[in-house]
Amino acid sequence: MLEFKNVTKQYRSGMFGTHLTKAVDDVSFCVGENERLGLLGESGCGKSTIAQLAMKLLKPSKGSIEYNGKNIKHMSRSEMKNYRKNVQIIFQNPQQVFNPRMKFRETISEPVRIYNLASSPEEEKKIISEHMEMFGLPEELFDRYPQEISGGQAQRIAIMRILMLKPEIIIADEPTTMLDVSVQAQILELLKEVMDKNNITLIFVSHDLDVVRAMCKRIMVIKDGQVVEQGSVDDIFDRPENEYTRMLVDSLKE
Amino acid sequence: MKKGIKSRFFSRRRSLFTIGIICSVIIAFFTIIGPFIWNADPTATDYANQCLPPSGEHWFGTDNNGRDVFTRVISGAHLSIGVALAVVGIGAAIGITVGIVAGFAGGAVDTILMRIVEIMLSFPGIIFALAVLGTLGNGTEHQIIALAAVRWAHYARLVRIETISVMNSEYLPASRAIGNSKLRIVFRYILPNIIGRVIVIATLSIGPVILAGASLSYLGLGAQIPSPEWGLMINGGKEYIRQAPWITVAPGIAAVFTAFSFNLLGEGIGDLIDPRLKEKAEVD
Repeated sequence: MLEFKNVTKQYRSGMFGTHLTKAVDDVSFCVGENERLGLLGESGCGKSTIAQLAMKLLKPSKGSIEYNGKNIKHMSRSEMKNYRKNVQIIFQNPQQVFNPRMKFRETISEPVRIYNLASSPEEEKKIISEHMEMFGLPEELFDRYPQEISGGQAQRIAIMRILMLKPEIIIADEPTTMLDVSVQAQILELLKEVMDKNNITLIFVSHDLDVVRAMCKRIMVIKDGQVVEQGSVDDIFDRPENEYTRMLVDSLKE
Repeated sequence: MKKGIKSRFFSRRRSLFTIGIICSVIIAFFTIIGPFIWNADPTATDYANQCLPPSGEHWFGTDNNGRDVFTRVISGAHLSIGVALAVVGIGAAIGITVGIVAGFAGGAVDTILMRIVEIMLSFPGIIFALAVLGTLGNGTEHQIIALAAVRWAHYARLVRIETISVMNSEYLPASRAIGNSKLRIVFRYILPNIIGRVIVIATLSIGPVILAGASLSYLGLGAQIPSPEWGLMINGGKEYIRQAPWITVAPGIAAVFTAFSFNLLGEGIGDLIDPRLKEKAEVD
């Protein structure tokens, strides 16, 4: 469904922009229906850049990103809208990703309005309150601003908001890193449940081996923007071939 | 957690805001209703009563032409404040538009717009205003255009920086990822997050603009003698400052008081509009 073909993203740096830094270097991979792919790597390795490239928040310097065989770079406005409806992202810091000047009432209704999911205000209300209930979110949150709720609640809202779109692929970019340990497990459990129930493909970006193992079936290990090893969870954990992967796995086993 | 209404109202910042509101209401009262109550002709001369000190009859005394200073301050208010409000309003409208376009579009558009802004800012403001007035001719409308032509660049630069800081926030990519249109991002994401600062800066600049307008009037551009413009009055009375300081002091205090009130008002509005600022305010 979603395919990266030799994608490279480089930044110019230095005084005259002569120095090129490769954040993502010749990365190729493909995710199919109902797949669970983990992108594993330490911070700064380029895994978040991959997530942003997939969301077209950044443009690749080389290579192409294709959705059902169509390059997202060449998509028309309506195709892009369809793409965004089907490929969604959960960000790392739930308390920073919502407009601090917008109450949740409006923030939550955004996807419903943008994608015309409801034909009337009553239907919109119904869709939203159904989802709120499903996610155990009280309706009093409607009148709150993002800075007035907890990180766990904010992340629940973030997941709920994109779930209303019924996407095919969800990219989770370190969705639990900024949360309290006690909340992390809840959010992961919720995410897993949601994925299974709706047959959603998950691309899970994390530096946490344990979490990736719990969430994913296939793992890509990334270092310095390059894919150093990929394979099934068992292969990576039991028979790591790459030295860097072995080091990561060993550090966990200790 | 929840503080009583009383302590909220009397917290230091809020009480300053309250003072700002009260002062602004007083100013609005004198500016709008004042001329109907004290409706003597502000330009009527009375050479028998030159340079009289403040008294029950002449609250702020009389000037070198025997005109009542209080009447002149009151009837001049709408001119001085009106010009300043118009200048700030027009300047802010242009500045916000240019600043958001530059910050949002980035790249070549940003570079071109910001070079223009820098050129504008590199002129001494008053010289540029003089050049504009020299081209357009005298008059209050032209004085507004001249001052706004200088002011907008200041706002544009501020708005651009604020816009870029919103662009670099985490919620902006998130808003794009969910599929918001550019127009909606500008009006529902960028504008609400920068408007607090802009209003504060705009209100804070009303005082200096009043003084800039007065400077132009002094140079014979803008308001003309004998109209009771504050700057014109200050400059007209400066030769008598030893014998009759009230001629200059009264309009001077009026201008400073106005600037002070708008400052308090501006900061208070900024707190109200921006919940992040409000949170900080409640901490101290």
